Amino acid sequence: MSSNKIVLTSSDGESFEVEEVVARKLQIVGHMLEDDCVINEIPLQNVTGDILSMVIEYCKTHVDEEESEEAQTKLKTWDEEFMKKFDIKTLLQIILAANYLNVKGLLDLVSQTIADTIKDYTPEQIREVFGVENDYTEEEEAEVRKENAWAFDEADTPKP
Amino acid sequence: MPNPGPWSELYPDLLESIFERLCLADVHRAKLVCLNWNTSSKRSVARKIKTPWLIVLFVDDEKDVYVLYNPNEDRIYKPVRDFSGIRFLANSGKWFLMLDSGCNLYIMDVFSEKRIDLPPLESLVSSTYALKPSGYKEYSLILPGGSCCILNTSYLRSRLWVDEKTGEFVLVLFFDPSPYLFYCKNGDNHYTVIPVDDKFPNMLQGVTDLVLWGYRLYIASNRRCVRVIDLSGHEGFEDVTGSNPKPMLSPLGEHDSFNIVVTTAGEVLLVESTTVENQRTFRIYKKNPNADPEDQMPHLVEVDSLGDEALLLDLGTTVPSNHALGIQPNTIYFTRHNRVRFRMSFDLEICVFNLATNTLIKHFPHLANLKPRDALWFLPMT
Repeated sequence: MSSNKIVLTSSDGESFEVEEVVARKLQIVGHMLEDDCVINEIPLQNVTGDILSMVIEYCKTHVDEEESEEAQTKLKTWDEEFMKKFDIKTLLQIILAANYLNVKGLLDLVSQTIADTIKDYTPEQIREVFGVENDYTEEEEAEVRKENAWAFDEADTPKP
Repeated sequence: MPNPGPWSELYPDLLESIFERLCLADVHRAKLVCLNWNTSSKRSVARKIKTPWLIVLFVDDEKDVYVLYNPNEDRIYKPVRDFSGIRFLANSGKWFLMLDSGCNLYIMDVFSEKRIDLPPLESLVSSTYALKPSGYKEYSLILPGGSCCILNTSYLRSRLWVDEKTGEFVLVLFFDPSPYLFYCKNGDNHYTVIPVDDKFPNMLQGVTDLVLWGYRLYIASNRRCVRVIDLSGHEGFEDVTGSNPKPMLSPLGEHDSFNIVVTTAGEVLLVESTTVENQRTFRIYKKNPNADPEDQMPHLVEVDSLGDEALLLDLGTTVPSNHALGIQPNTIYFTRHNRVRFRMSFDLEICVFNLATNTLIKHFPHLANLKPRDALWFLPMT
């Protein structure tokens, strides 16, 4: 494995020197390296330094994903702790960054974290927690509520 | 990205990535948050209801309880409305035909509040037959000549077909084991009789299985001939069986674990299962296209593969497989045989059978605790 170093620069000018194997976890970087293998400094326009540093932390931890059950469990615990650091606002920035930088594992992880948050709330509570304004007209909302008035609801099944 | 838009403007792809991880009930809640979330929820909702679900009947505290089960989510959905005393008779997509304790018939979309009331059974229109309520859960059918037979709604069997796009529907009812079928279409205010009694040639009498394939009704007779009735006309039905129908007799000899199935191409199949040492296997047959036309009892030929289709035996139809959604090709979604006829006892075995590998998939963890008494595969949306 090459120990080549790559410098990633955020939109606000912060630079991170990382090993190529870590940088390649960002598929956007992987594609650039394939196109032109001599570059070693990559500007990333759509992500700020504080968020990029989090993404890099994730990629460093996941750089060699071992198959063993023990390693997987350890990673899972790390993922959970990692996600606990972020508030809703930061989660939004992370999901956008994971999407832009194309880090599949992180995108899955943050999507799951957001889904787990949504799960426990009523629509009104989601609006409040996520800071979303209700842009339905009264009639529209009543209409959608009617679609939702199905005869069944989730039973209390233990989470997998 | 230094200044990300708010949550309400999150890209549809990302919202979908989140919604996919929610169960259907939670997506229904989340889509109420704002217009953009509603729009982005539609694909996730569709994906969740485009795979076969189960409706499961079990007994809780001496009462019949129906629940829905989505195998992909391994999740059970309990009714929030009171369905006590209501029986689910048949279904087509997300529409279920229900009979309440007052003998009212209606069809209901299980995923919304929509309900269509149907004419009462006694609205039967016929110059020779009449149907009258005659007691608790009982009707008398008055036959030509004045004789009468008692029909109990506990033995009411049915098939339903609803066209999701146009809202057209047709339903066929059958009091097991009487030799009369009744049908009704959208716009009708009454039922019409389709007799299968002894006025017909022996080969065509009786009912052992029914399939509704659009407006086409396939009736397997006692002697395993398949009668085909076209219900699309405005002026009553038309028998389009053709002359000289041949029976679809099992090469394995007479036995009870069979169904007829109509494929998407309109071909009629005979599907049988046998259980040897607790292991169920299926066999599929079709008519021999090269059979001698003079042969009155031609042998069927075995079908090795359903090709790119999956078979929903409870509905008697096939659907195209869909790898992305997890509907595997060449599989049989099975619960039991004998849904229509003869008050037969049955062994419930909820499973998906893969014909290519000859294996059963039976892993429905949350269902196991319920001890289902009956169940039915259905495809909420196609």
